[in-house]
Amino acid sequence: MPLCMTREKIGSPEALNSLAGRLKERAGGRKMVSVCLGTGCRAEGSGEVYEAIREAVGELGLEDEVIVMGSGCHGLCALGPLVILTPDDIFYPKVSPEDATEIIEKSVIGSQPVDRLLYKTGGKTCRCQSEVPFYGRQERIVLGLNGIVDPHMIEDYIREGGYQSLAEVLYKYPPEDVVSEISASGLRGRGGGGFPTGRKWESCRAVETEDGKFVICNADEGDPGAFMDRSIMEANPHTVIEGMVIGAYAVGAEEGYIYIRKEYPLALNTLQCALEQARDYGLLGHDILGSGRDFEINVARGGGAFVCGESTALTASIEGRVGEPGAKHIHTTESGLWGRPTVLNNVETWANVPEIIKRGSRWFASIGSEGSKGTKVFSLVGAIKNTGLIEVPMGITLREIIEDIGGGMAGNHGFKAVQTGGPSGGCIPADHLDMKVDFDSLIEVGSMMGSGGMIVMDESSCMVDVARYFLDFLRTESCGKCTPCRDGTEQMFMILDRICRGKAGEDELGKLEEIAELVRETSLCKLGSSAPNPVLSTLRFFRDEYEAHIRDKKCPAGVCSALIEFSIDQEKCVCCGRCANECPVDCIAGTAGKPPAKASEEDHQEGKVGEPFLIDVQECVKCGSCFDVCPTDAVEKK
Amino acid sequence: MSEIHFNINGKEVTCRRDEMLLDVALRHGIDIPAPCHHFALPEDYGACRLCLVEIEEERWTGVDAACTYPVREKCIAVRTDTEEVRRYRQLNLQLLLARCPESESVRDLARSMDVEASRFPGIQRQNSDCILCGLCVNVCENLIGAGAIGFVGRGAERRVAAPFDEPASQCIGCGACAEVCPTNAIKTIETEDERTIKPFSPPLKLVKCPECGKGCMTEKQLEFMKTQLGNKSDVLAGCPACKVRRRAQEFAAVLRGKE
Repeated sequence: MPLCMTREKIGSPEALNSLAGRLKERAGGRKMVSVCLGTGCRAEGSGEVYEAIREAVGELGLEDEVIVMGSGCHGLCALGPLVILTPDDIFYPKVSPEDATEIIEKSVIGSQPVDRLLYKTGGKTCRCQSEVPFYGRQERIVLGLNGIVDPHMIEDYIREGGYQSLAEVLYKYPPEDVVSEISASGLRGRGGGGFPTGRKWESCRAVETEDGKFVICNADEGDPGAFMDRSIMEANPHTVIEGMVIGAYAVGAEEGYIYIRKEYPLALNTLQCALEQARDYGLLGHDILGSGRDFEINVARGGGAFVCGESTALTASIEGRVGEPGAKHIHTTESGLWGRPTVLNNVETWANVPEIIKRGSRWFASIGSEGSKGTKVFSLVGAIKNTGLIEVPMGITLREIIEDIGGGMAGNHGFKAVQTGGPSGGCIPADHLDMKVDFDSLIEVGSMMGSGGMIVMDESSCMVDVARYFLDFLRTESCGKCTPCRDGTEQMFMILDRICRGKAGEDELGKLEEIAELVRETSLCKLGSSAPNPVLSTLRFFRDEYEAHIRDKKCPAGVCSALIEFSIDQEKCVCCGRCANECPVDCIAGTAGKPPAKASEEDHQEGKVGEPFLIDVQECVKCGSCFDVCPTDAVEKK
Repeated sequence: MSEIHFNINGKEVTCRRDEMLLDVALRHGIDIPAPCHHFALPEDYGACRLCLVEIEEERWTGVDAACTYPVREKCIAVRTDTEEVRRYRQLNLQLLLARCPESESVRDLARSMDVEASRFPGIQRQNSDCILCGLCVNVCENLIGAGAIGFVGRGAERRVAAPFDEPASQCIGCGACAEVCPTNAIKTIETEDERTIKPFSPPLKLVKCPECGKGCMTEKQLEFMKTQLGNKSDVLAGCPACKVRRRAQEFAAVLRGKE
């Protein structure tokens, strides 16, 4: 499709329908190569792959028959760059630019897969995406169009039925019916709190005001290791925009904001392009779809503070004030941005709205568990094979996510814990792997859904060190306004740090629990009240590890450098000398050569026999380089 | 505006809807420690977390700060002296004490709540008596309107400062920040000709009272107030003591005239 087609205002649902029909017709019969240009694949070089494929198509003179599309995230980031061919339904992982010509000639023209490029797992070769186990267990509603639409082409979204829900709502539903439809679906906020979206909309809709209302999209995803919202915005921004316009109509708002963090330049760019195109078509702005309704979306950029994901801090930041939270006894829906009634939902929540309208609340409510309906997008990272972006029905078990979708553990170590809910979530141990993943079950085990980060850890992780890491994040991201959060998280971090260094006394665990309770119960905002979670959940499930650090001055996982010592098993050492070569402080001595046990008389005479290596413990800085390079596991960590 | 009835420690109290719980309690003579509350400021900041109380609502009971809790119909009862409330207040005070071990005011407050010393190591990085209650920032920005100081840094690194840590160019030297500071961490230092708001302002020249000749306000303050008051600025002439004396003399003259 030419990039420079003129976009004219669409004045009615019928006009939208006919445009969608024309776009479908135009795309029909054409082959499409979709190259993932999400952040993960880009880092693996998918930009070059995209260029190489375009070039190959050009050289073969196929520009009119083949569409080469740079799409958003396909999900399986561990195997990027990813390429999907339609309509032949062929899936290629780890594509390099050199593969481009072969893919075009054999798979696009010839419709045959290139066997050596296909994904192979467990003795099985997978031709298409649905055969790949990573995708098999997923249910993709929000991510459904990832890889199918070009995020920079609103026409792709319209072709796939986009903005039809908006048209239906504007012309067929009174606002209160939209709200009841969302309520009936059971949709709960995907940003962390899990508040029923319909109830939130209803309380905002019910407020009578002449000063106007706002809807806001929270795109301030700040959890380390989380990239759900960013991926949605980069892959399919129109589903978020359409959701917001529907929400604005339902609650009676004429102005909205997308609050997006500074660290997301790609998402921001995609979003701004999408807003522009939606305005061109009259799907946003004045007289939307000829309905007489107005709604405009502004983009507000955050500075990257974690606390600005909190609703009162976020609105303060949009208003141009310091991004710090205030007391929240009066709901945002009553008094939010500039004191006006405001609905604040996160990216994923908004992205669910068009599908709920299109397929009905009953359909949505049929997916998921008792109290949590629909699906949830997770960014699955850590010590598993298939890291990436997944969308699963609520109520799926942790085991299914980690073993079936994640493909199990990546290294030689066994599973230890999975951390959900972002930095202020909790760590869940192996004996809870069969628990359901939904809002309420996660809270029961001392963690939370959060916005959907999921970090899998293996036995090489020290849980005290993990708690220390997250507290370090939280103490520096605390805005510092209230005493318990500012000084309490600092004191908790200091205790954890002492424990990791073997300097903590026996009474410190009690103190730690005491401050944790104080911070949880008396902090001003959610950042503070959830900040003790990493400590409390690891204390609950891995208390023995804390005690080993404090009483025995040992780190069972061998992570806390102050508590471990490296040594070389003289029997196992093969005198290769790699450890000594790697050592940054030259504290390993020995002679490279044949190991004495294997040396012959001749070797001895020729002076080829080595001497096993030894570590000078006093000089050792415990960097672990020797441990990593030793080919015979002779270096021990205790 | 509807009236709300509820009880604090068993005592029946009445207030306006959305009136802050701390104000209601203080008005009824119920004492709650609240160093970051000041009657002159319209809105509390909710920072120190010492005014914690137990609140019983229709569907929730828990501990919250009284200074930022607007009372509505759902509020049934408030208890200011439960074991839990005391423990939380004491712990927060220990945290503040670890921050400002030298501050007399914090130590006095601690003693009044049976806290002798902090069980936590010190975390102060700038060696000050500031407990970050926010009153100075609030008064300067929202009441005076000068906006000379603000918070910088996050977490335990947070502190109050003038832009770029230079002597505050926006400071008019009114001294309101020092006046509201609960721990005397801000001081007004005056010589015959100059006033300095320590640690924020540069030395600011004083305007002399035309009657007694003493310094009565800074030049910048006079200038600032003139722009705020417009043509009513003649009321500014003279120091407060002389103004009072002049008014009293005028009043006395009127009375004499009546005799």
